[in-house]
Amino acid sequence: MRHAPSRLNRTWLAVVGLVVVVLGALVTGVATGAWSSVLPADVLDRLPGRDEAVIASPDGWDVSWVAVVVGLVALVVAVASARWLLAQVPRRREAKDLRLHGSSVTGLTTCAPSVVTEAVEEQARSLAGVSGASAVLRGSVRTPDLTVHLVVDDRADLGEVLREADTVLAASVVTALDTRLARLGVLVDVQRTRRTNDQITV
Amino acid sequence: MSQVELRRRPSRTVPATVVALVLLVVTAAITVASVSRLLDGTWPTWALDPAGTVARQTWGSAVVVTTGAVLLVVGVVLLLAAALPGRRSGIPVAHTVQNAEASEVVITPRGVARLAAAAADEVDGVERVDVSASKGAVRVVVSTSLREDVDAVRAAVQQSVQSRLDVLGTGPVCQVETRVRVKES
Repeated sequence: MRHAPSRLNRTWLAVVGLVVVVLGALVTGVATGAWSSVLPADVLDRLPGRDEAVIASPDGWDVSWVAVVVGLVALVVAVASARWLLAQVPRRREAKDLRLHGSSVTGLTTCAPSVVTEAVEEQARSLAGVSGASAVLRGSVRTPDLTVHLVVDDRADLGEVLREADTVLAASVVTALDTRLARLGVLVDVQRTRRTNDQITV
Repeated sequence: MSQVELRRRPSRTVPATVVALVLLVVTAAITVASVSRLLDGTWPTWALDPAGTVARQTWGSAVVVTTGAVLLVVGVVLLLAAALPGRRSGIPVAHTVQNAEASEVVITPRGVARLAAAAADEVDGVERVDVSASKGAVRVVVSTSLREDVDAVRAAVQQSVQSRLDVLGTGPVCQVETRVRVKES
């Protein structure tokens, strides 16, 4: 029902992964001397030897412009990381207010999607075998995309519930918006029916 | 129109959150250290000490070799997480609707497992039910103490589960495999 930023995650994981792999290959190659059999001699001359310190001249870091450059790069990466982290919060991507009649001369009629989805949820909960429901309306009035999450009991007639999701829930939205749905999504979850231990004597 | 699929591939939220958090903590610390260097004229000691430890290592030391190997492994894991598509979630139900141009009906694997468990639990002689469901199949393991009627119990459970998962009358939403364990009395 909620949207997670899959493409963003995969892109940034690929970028970070590539940087880390290159860094790891460089460090391992220099540390083990593996590059000596792979790289040409003029490139090898520029690489540090295995017995040299990792940072040969620490004084080079004690210059003001180094602190400025390092600080700026770190700040940019920190801001990008913070935005990436915030993007992980799942979003419903619900439609904006629906414009039912769009002429500013005769007046605008708008409807919040929550008005429609709350009605759908209430109607869904009244269906036999349905114990919980939530709905999201995406798209626009001309291309409405309704997604319904139904929680049904494990003894319910699931086929009948699915048929009613179309003929009752979707049909109500079609009537309300006066347009056929562009898409109907139904996500079904099942919960165990509560069992009681009451006894009967015949 | 923005369309959100119900049967999604993994969005890699966990590795993304971990990497973003590590990057944020490290780069925020470096930013604070840089600002401190610009204001006070020296790098703060909490940054100098670990940096000095790294700087003193030689390239051939075990610490550097290990760090390089760890970086390689982590990088490959991140690349695999980015490149491998992963399995789609949910089990599709081919249900055509009248009131929409297109439809997508999905049952969660947990939902299918619970439906199967409820159906198996209705069979006489079944004392315990364990069910696991994936996209391809639902595996039902029932326990019974009816030693002589194992085949009958297996057939009844198979029939009951298949019937319950035949949501639309066109066959079960996934393959059903049933096993029976006989309880020692």
